[in-house]
Amino acid sequence: MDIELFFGALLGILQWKPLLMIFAGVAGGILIGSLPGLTATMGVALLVPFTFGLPFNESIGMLLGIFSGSVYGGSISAILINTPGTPAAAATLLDGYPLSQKGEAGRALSMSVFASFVGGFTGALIMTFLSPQISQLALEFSAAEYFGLATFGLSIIISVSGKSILKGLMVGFLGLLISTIGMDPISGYPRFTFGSMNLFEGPAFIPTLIGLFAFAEVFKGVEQLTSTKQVVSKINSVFPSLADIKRTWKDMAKSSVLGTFIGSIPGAGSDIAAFVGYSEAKRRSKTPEKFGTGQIEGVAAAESANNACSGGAMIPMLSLGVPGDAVTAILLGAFVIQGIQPGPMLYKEDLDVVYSVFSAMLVANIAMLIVGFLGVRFFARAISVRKSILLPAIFIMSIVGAYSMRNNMFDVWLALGFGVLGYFLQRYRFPVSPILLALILGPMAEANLRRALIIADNSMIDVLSRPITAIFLTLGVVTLVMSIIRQRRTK
Amino acid sequence: MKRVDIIFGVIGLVLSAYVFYMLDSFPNAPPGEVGADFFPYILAIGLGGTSIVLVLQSFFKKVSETVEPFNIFETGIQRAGVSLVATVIYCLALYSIGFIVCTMVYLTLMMFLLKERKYFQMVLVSGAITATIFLVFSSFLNITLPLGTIYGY
Repeated sequence: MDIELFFGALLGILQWKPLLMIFAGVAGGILIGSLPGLTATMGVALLVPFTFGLPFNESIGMLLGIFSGSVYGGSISAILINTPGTPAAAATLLDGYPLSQKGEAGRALSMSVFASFVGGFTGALIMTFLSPQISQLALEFSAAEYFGLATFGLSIIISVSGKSILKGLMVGFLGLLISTIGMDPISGYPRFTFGSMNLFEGPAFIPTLIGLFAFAEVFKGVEQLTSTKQVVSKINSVFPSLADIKRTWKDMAKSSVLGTFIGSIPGAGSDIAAFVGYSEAKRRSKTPEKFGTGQIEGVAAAESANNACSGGAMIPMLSLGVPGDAVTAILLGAFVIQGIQPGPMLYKEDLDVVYSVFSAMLVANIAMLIVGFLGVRFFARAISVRKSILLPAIFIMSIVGAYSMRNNMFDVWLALGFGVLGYFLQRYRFPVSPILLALILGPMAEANLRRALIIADNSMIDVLSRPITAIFLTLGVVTLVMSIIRQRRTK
Repeated sequence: MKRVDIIFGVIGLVLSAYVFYMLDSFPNAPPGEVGADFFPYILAIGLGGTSIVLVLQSFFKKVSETVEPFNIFETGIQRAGVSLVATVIYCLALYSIGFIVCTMVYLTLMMFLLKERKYFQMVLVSGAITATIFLVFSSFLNITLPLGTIYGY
């Protein structure tokens, strides 16, 4: 690594104009991320046209600012209203929302900012120093390995099932069945679409999430209006306490590394990274049974993993010219527009550009930490608004969020339908989180298993015995068995 | 809880049977290959199996937890039902009446349903929420919200 060139690039980013763009990008990203229905991809895509005429440092600073800000922003609505602003924050709500219901929204939000920073900064550092090596390892991933990764993620269905393993499994199977709606990933045959074009791509993910979590929660809130107390959020400090940092630093470190690696695998996004990070934190916890009831470790692990993924996703994009996810695909386009062609030659011909990107990513994460902390007190107050005002506002936000994904009323009806389903499932103590997990990981597991079988001439043994796949599957079985044993002990 | 579990178990079984029925119409995969019905088939077995166990468990296992019965005459449930109906009407009217008017009326009525009685504040807050959402989505994010076909938009 050419340290002199790197610091030169860092100085270029630390000029007032690029800095201003980074801060503006981060603030805009946090706003976009916190609005259910608007994803990091949408945020970056919306801003790309505005950056065409800007110099490279300002343009890339703004885009990476939005990218970092929106991944963190998704956790705000997950923690406050049980609706992940972006799919990446889906795992954050498992413990973030219960914390907020205990009046500890401020604590959850400040930990979320801090963990996002730790994850994002670690991801950016790893990206800076280990890009070529990691991208080589990521290239080892073929369909069989993706199947292994998805199966490992699915193995936590039992541990997010709450008191009843049976009900968790039942809901998990239901979720996986829902995930098969739409065109078959291999043959293109429309499955369970009832002739509706709107279902050809499967039930849209964000409206489904909005329904299962936001609508269901609001219906419950309306029903229990007089029987539950108004949540009052305590905010002693906008910073996480030293005790919380001590409690979570190992989870954050592990999730950051895991998240960066998962991000570097093309196609495996931050939502998957967050669940894998969460699952790992739960597996190593001394009190795993408390996860899902408001454990700060759950928030820290999920947030550090999904933000680390941003840095990870940049690795194959810069070093191979292969985008790691949808956002980096748009960033790739923005680079090309600026006259820069990412790929192996970039490291040889335009090292200054590579270092500018690394520097902008590092600075964007620091900007996210500052803007995030400044916003904690403001965001946390939202939960203290009277229910008679808050609940209708969430209804509207949810409707607009579901609608805005594709400017389509079908998605709103879908969200409402899932809202009713979620309400009844919650009311009768069926866990809803397994559906969430199934919707994210089910399509990945199915498509890759079938691809792997085609490649291996339908030999299941060949698919399962590939080393990385076998490791993931073994980890999945261990997680599954351990969860069952723990559940039985708890009973 | 026992009765509820039986109901959910039966629903699961019916759903699983329906999936099996649907799978019959799926095209056959090329010989030796896994087809479009492979995953749904396994999942339907899983759903059906867990549903059967849930029903059997309800018959043979001692009930350990209770939940409040779903009584439609209970005020809270009626309120949730009215809010669902109001939301459905809001969604139906959105295209023709437009986001701004619909949202203001919906928010005010929902606040009233949720026992808010400060009328001036209700109207003010409804207006502020509507304006903020409209501005953020339409002006800053370029996401077109329905303006109302009755006004010619």
